[in-house]
Amino acid sequence: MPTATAPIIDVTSTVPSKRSVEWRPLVLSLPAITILLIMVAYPTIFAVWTALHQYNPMLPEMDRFVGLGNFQHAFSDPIFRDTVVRTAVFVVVAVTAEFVLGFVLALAVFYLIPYGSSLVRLALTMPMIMPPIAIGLIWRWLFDGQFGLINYGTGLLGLPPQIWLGNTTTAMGAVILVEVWQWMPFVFLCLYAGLASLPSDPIEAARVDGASPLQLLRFIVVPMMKPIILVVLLFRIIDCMRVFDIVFVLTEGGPSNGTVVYPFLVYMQGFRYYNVGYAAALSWLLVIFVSLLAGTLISVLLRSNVQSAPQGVRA
Amino acid sequence: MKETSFRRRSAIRIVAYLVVLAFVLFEVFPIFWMVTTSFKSRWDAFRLPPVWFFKPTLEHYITILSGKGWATTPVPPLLVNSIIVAVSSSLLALLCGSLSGYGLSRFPTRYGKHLAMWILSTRMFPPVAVAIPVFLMMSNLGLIDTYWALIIPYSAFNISFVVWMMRSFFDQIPVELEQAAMIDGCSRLGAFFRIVLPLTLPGLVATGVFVLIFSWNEFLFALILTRTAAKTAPVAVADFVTLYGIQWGQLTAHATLISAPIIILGLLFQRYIVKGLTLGAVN
Repeated sequence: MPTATAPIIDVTSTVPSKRSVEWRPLVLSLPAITILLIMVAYPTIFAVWTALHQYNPMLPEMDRFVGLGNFQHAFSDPIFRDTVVRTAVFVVVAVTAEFVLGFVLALAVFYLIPYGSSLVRLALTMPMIMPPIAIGLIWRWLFDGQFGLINYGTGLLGLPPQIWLGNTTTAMGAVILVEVWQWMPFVFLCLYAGLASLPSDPIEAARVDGASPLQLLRFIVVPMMKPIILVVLLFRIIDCMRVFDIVFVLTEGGPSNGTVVYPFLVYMQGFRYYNVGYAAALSWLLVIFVSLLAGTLISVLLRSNVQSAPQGVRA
Repeated sequence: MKETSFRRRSAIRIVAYLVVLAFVLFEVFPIFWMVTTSFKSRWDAFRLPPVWFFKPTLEHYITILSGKGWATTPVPPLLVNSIIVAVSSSLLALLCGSLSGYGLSRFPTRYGKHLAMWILSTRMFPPVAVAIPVFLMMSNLGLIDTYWALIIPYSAFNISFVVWMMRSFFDQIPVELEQAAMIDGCSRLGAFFRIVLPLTLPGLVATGVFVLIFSWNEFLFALILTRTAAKTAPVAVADFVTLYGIQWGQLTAHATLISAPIIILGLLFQRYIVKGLTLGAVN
């Protein structure tokens, strides 16, 4: 509130001004907007032009306009269809596994382990932040057919050695395992934080009323955790759809294209076969699909922010 | 009856401890294995059953650091490139992002909400989708294999993160503090530097650390936009996959070198990690 001693100072500027348009947020955001326009918006629009051409930088004289030909080609290409199915399987299996394991672990650590939980959280922080390229490597070493520790371990159990990364099914399984290894801790940490932020009264009340632990989980804990669960799932789904580094080092897309997920297909078409127009068309399909998902995520984020944070106390 | 339920509860607790222990081992063992392999001699690395106690050697580190290893470029310049790119892009993202975050936090407007949403939507963007046009753009500008080719895209990918993180940190500082300072004769800029910035400094540092980690780890753009002069450390990984097989000793040494600083930073700022990775949606 302005006081009599300092009437000229504009202390009410946090309220939208009625006199004119408030330009300050826009001006302060200009540097950020400029960089984003140059690096995200412009390339996306430029990609439309590229996607309508058959363009190979090695053969610039062959550049020609093909309209929607690249998109038609994608939809009739069995490799494209196989890749979409493979990516869908990858995302569904990996996110489900990450979520189930992460949730079980969060419940176990939060409710059953009174000591050492901070140590567990510290240990599980490491996989998420490591360079994915290093992670892919370690696992390639562990999966190695000849000297890998995994074959040694299965050998102790009396199983025959496998060439894990040389067989389509086990190679895809390996990629999923590594993805789960890296991101299950993220689900765990988020859900643990969610459990810690729950009010204890409803849980106590239900317990006093004689609810079993499973009933507590089903009817009290999960409903209260719903916003966080949604945020976590959507982040994982969107991030899974851009998996690249792990595939690049672990399997290089092989064997016989068996682990080519969508981003890797874009990379191969653009930077190995130089079908730049086609790769741009594939990029656009990905952008459209991810935008739809991201729209959902953003509306969820908005609602959860509104719920958990009355203005000013977003803690 | 009381005793059986007590026994049952302690049995459950023991099972829980074992399950959690198994998970932690599963998550930590590969990292442990990477580090130990990097210190094993060529002979020890391939021994099965694995040797748990061995005479550690620095041979792989010495080889890759002195540039005599399989990496076509010696490792120290690669690390220097990584540091230059990560630090510059982080500073650029922090500067642009916190200005915007402050504006969006302190002057609520109708369009500000949409602006924040648009900025957030760039976080969801699959980087591979802009890889082709960015590559063509950088070639046309003659920037391939320069630091700028990486600094600009990396700041762009991190700006959304900085804006949202910093906005939530600015939101936590009561406006009244700033107003009080302004009533006492501070300009808005003065209030920002004397009141707001010191209070948000921990948040700013944490945000910076995460941006640094993301930039340091980035692989795809470094792979396609650099050749030798601006090549970053993660890209060199492919050099160790040679015609004569994979050079596991040097490879794990390299992987340990690029992971160690990240792990240390991440553990120091572990408190902020959940908030960071969910753009402030989960604390």
